[in-house]
Amino acid sequence: MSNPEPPAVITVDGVHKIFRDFWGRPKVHALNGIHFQVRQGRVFGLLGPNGSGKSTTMKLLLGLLRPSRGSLKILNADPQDVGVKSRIGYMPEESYLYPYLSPDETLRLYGQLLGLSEHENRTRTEELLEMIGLTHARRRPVGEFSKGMARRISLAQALLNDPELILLDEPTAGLDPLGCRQFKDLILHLARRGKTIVLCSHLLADVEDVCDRIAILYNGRICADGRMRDLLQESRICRLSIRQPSPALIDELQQTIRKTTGQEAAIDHPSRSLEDLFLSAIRSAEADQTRPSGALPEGRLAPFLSGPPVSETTPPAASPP
Amino acid sequence: MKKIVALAVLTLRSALNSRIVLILGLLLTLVLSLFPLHLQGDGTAPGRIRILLEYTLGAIVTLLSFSIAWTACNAVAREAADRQLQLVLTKPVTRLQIWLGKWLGLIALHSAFLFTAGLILYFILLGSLPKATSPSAKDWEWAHYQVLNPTTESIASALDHRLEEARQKGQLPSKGPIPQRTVNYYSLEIRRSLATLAPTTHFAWSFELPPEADKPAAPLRLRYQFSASRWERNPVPLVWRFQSSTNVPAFVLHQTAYAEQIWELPLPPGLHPGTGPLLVTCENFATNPPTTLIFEPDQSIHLLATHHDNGLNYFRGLLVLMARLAFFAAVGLTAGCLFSTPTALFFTLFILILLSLGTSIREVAESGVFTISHEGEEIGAGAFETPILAVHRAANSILDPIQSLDVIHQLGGQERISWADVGRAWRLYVALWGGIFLLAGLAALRRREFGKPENL
Amino acid sequence: MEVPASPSSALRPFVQILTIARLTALETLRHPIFLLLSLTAVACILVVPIAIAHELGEQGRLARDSALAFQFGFGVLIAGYAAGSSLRREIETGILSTLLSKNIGRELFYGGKVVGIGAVLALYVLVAIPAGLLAQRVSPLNYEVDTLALLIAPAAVVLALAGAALDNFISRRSFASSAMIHLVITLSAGVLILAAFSRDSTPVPYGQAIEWRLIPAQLLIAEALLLFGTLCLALAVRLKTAAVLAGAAIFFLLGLATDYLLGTFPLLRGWAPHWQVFWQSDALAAGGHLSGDVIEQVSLYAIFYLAGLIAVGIVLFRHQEME
Ligand SMILES: Nc1ncnc2c1ncn2[C@@H]1O[C@H](COP(=O)(O)OP(=O)(O)O)[C@@H](O)[C@H]1O
Ligand SMILES: [Mg+2]
Repeated sequence: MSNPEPPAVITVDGVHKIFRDFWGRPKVHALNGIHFQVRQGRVFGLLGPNGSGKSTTMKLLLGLLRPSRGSLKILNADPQDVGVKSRIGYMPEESYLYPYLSPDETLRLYGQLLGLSEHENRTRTEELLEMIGLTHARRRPVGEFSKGMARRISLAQALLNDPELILLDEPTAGLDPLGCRQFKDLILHLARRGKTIVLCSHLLADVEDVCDRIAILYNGRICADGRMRDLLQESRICRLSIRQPSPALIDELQQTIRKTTGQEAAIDHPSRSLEDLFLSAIRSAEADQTRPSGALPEGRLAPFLSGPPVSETTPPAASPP
Repeated sequence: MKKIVALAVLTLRSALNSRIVLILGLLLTLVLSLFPLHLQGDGTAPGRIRILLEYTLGAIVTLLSFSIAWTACNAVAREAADRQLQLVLTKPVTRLQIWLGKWLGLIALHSAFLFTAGLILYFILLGSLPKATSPSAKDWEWAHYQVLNPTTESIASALDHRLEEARQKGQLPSKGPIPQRTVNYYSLEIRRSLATLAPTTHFAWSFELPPEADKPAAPLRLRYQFSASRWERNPVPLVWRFQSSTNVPAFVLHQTAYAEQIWELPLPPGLHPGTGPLLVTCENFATNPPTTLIFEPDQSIHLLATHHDNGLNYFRGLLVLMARLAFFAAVGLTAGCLFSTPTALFFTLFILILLSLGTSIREVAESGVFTISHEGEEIGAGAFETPILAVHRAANSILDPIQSLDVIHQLGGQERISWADVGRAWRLYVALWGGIFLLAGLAALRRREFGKPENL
Repeated sequence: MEVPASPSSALRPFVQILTIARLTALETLRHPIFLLLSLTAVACILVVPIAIAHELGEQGRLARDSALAFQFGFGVLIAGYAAGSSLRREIETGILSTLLSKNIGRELFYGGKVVGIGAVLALYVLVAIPAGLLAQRVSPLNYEVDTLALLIAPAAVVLALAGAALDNFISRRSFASSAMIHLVITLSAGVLILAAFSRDSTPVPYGQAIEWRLIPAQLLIAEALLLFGTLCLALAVRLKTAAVLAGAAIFFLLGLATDYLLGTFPLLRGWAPHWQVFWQSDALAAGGHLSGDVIEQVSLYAIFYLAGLIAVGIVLFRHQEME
């Protein structure tokens, strides 16, 4: 807890983004003066309803859009700086892939654009295809893929350069629950290796599972931000779990509580989350399944991503303190 | 560089994948198989060459021009609309690399088409030429010619004199500058009068020849054309003299020719020692009936230096055409950076059409917009003349250098295309105009935001 | 797209057709390429007779022919683009599946598309007609220029664009579609003003100074364009936009060469359209008028052909799979 704060990787300072019409009149105020910082090794979640400006923020960070006012710094550089992009990975909200390229060719292309050496490019492509479970579909054109399959390639493309900073726009949209889970594991793993991750989503469950800091955007303004635990914890309420209690025991406990505090304790049965149920069903079916034509649930982590932490500056504190 | 190549390959692939390449290949095959079969020409070997090179190659180049314009427009505009460009821009590539990569990809693809179709056409051409033994090959040889123009006579003093005279006669205002149009008119008139041959008179043209123009194996030829003062098409007896310096006897040639026709005379080798001017004199012997001959300045008499490296000449021609395709690609790409697909295509085609209108623009720019009324006096377009002329002049100053490189016509006419021509074409089309469009495209790419929201 | 809450069942198909038609027309009109093509058509119609007037003798004829030819040429491009982009793009992007999942029969949908493209072409023709009439006045006759017309014609175009810009500024309406409407108004107003003045700018009995007889010929061209648009729409069911344009071009050339081909392939008679019948410029030579008979016959021909093309289109469309 008393770690010195790691350095800031992203600094957003008073950024406004106004989309204007032909005459220069404001059409949409997509962002209205947002401030936030993301420090190294953190998993930062940007939450907000549709149209609240999450993607716009991402695009500003990538230099695809320019701020109308305010300033952004990303890895200590201006977002317009081309050089800094070799240290960033970005997964867009929709898969903007070339429909006639196969997964193999797609990854090779982006590897070349990232300036990877031929050998590196080949092995990483190989490993990532394995990881996203599309090795068997590597020669089919991406244009024929289902949305989730395309999203997986989109993800692989973002990881090709083993980036220090990863920006993920609605990463789990279109992924099946298994993919979602693998994906969250991947994020946690990357964070442990010292990567900084910014993800935006309106799917709260995703954010809850992986992020340690969040900011909630509404209508182009940040209306809450801070550490996830702090924001979520209802510190005044306590919950007691017992396996297969007898009615008598419950009765007794109730009475004790009523006597000592004068309060009525609420009783309910915890249910598994749907996600857990779905995952266990799939796992049991997996044994007697022939190869599906879609994405495979293998999901072994690409070896080049499982190296030691790349940065020596500060060990990350992604796991609960 | 590696990134540029990657983007070039990507562009190539996307073009290959779209239907257009298939259609293009089909159309080219059609052109290559139908044109040579169905357009037989006038039966002579030069006519055959003209048909094959001017029409068939012309059709091929037109197809390729349209195709490169179309694919270039799509290369940026389509990808911006479908947002693939967004993802590419988040990688460490500069906009310059993107532009250049796409440009090179387009050029590679279309050059491949151009040179393949060109090679096939060349073989078709070789196959359809008359055999050396056949009678039709007797007064014809498979060669190409470098057109040499006579040195322009100095007429400065005569022009001044003539203008002064016109001022005194009141044909021109007595003071103030004289419009260029009028000066051009008078200078043409003077030069025309110089080369106007009354019966039994003569006129001499002086040619400055390059050193190796007259080789033993490849002698010079004379090409000429004239108008006559009589309507009846009588044969006109002419005497031509060729003399390189005063101490060598002149070579004399008698010929009977008709007016308004292009004549070509093979000359014996060794007329020109390699240095100094060659004087070509024409004497008019048309005394019965007396006929005056008019040689149009700059257009009516040329010497042709013969060359036999036909394949190389053809290759140089293709190189010039390639430069032109590269230029179209640059226009299309930049249009795509500025506008969305159909608008970009419209813009590109507009420029293509403007280029094809070059000659009529030049005409207006040089001679003005005037009409001759029934009384024979010149009426300008009034108040509209100044702006119309200004627009045409501006357009002409841009288009004129590009227009003069009509290689397809030159190839068809068996004219020589020099390496200097190739260099000029690449400097003009690629370095100058390609560069200008590159800068415009980069400015557009830099200004434009590629953050289209995700929907659909 | 407001559909009345409970249209009576008899009216409902019409409401649906009109809704689709409106959607199609608006989508097409908002794209700047439509305005660009129309503007170029107007510019060509107005400028070409001036630019080449000194080269040919019969100026009236030149202005007429070029007006009809440019109206047709650019109309063909617009028809091809409108058909290709509206139907093809909807099939490709999957918008169509959304639309068809509402309870609209495919026949009605296709009918709506035809009406929509017809509306787009109608707007274009409404621009081309006054432009053609103005061209008659703008081109010099016997080497005399009509100063008033030379002022009014460009002013009409500039005014329309300025009006559309203002409209866009104030009401945020799409510039392209607003400019088209303004062009119809200003060009027609130009014609109406010039109708009162002779070529030397002196007042004449109203209407005498305009060659109204051009209008029937222009309307016949409009019918040809409608045929062409329907043809492109039928092709767009199966082909991509580029292929639609290529296919339409082939069909177009076929139509031009009908007289020639009919000798060779009698089977083609009645199948390939006779574009020549829509080109009645010759009837206008030497002060002639189009006879009512000709108009009636040609229009009947157009209607039958149109019905055939729509039927073919519907059959193709019925069997089209939506991706
Ligand atoms: N290129 C653009 N032009 C105009 N408006 C835009 C553009 N991009 C985004 N917007 C608007 O900005 C707002 C925020 O969009 P976005 O950031 O994509 O939302 P989300 O939080 O769902 O990702 C929306 O109202 C959207 O319409
Ligand atoms: Mg978003």
